[in-house]
Amino acid sequence: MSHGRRRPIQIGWLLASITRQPLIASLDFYCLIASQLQMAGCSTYVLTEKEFTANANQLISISNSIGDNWQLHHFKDGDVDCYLSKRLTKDLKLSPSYEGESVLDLEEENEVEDDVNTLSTASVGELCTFEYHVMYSSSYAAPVLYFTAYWQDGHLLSLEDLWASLSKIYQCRLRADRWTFVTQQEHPVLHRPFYQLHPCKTGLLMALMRECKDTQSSHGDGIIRNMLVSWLSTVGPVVHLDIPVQYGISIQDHK
Amino acid sequence: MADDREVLREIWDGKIPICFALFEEDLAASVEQPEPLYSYFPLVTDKVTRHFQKFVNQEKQGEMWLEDESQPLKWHYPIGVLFDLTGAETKLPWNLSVHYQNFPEEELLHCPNKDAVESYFMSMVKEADSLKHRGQGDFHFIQRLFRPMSESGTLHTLRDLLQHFFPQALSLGDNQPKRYSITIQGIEPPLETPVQWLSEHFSHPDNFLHISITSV
Repeated sequence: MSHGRRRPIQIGWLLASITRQPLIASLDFYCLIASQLQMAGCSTYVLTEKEFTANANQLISISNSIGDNWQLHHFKDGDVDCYLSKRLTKDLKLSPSYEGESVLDLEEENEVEDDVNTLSTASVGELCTFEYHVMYSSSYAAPVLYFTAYWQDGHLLSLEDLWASLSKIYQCRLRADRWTFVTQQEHPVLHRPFYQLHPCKTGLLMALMRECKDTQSSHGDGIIRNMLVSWLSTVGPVVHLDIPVQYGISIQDHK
Repeated sequence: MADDREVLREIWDGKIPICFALFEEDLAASVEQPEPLYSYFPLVTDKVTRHFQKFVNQEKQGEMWLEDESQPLKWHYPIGVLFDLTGAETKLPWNLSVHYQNFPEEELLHCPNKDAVESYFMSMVKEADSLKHRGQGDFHFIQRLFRPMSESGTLHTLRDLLQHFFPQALSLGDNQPKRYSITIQGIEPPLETPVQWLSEHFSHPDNFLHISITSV
């Protein structure tokens, strides 16, 4: 763990190259650290709107240079005045979910039996278009990831299908948090239903990243960091949003 | 702290009569019952569904949703807030259509079960908690949050708040016609009411003070 603390920047990416299972490892790692920080009474990281906007602009300029298709939208509406968006189409394979997992929760899955039956026919893979929005929440002083997804016939991806599309390890890891990790919420600007990654732990995750940064700077090799990118590269892959490693490299080269 | 207990009691006990009528086939099948303003529709409509069970084609029965004059109702807001948003002119009982088909998934959040309501409610409470208890040490001023007091210590009023966020809601002068009505918990409070008092007495259980601004 102390090793992790010293090499904080791209824990997700580092582990990705070693284990090829970036997120389960990094998420577990973060959750562990986050709960320790919480117990130790550590404060959460407060991302100001100004820092969010600066981070978002940097993300856009890197995205433009590597053709990653992120876009910045400006508007004025209450909480926020810009958000990032990205659209991508994925070949989704749905595995009949929850099978071979702990029996504890099987009871409550009975009601989704019909869905499981339809899933099995779709298990060869179907095209699904995701639209991701990243915006600032002044309540949490943190970035929030929203997304929606629809099949080629225009139907929205259901929450059941989303869970079934996640790899088994994540399904297993996140099953305890099923009702809190991803929920459907009203989009704060578009006022349409979107899925939201719940932001209540984001501040703690970023506090961990800050701690790493402070450790680093005391060694004199001040790291330039983009909190938004660090956070997004950690949580995004859970919901099929990959952040290429070029972002990390560009941010470091920026010094 | 909140001290006007009678006001709190009145708000907590607030109910409105709602008439639920099944959409389409005008079967004259309707059920009328009083619903608590602080509650959420999925928590109170079991009885409605039981009542309509025999009229609905079981094979076609999908997720239930409610409509108010062709406006689908967002269940994730408290009933009282949804009612306030219809404007002050709505006559009681409040007439709603009940649907079991063609769920408008572009507009409404799905509500597969009561866990979804709990999950939504908890996320609102967490958000409120995050706002209330953000450590003083990390305090950064975020302009769009509204403080109950001015720098000099005078209490901000509802008028100050509207002036800040939505000035067009305030009429320009005494003899100008009113263009918007401001409703909280079914009441149009005087604009001189301190925001602090409103927050303590008129907030919903989700810890938010929902202010409805509707054009007249």
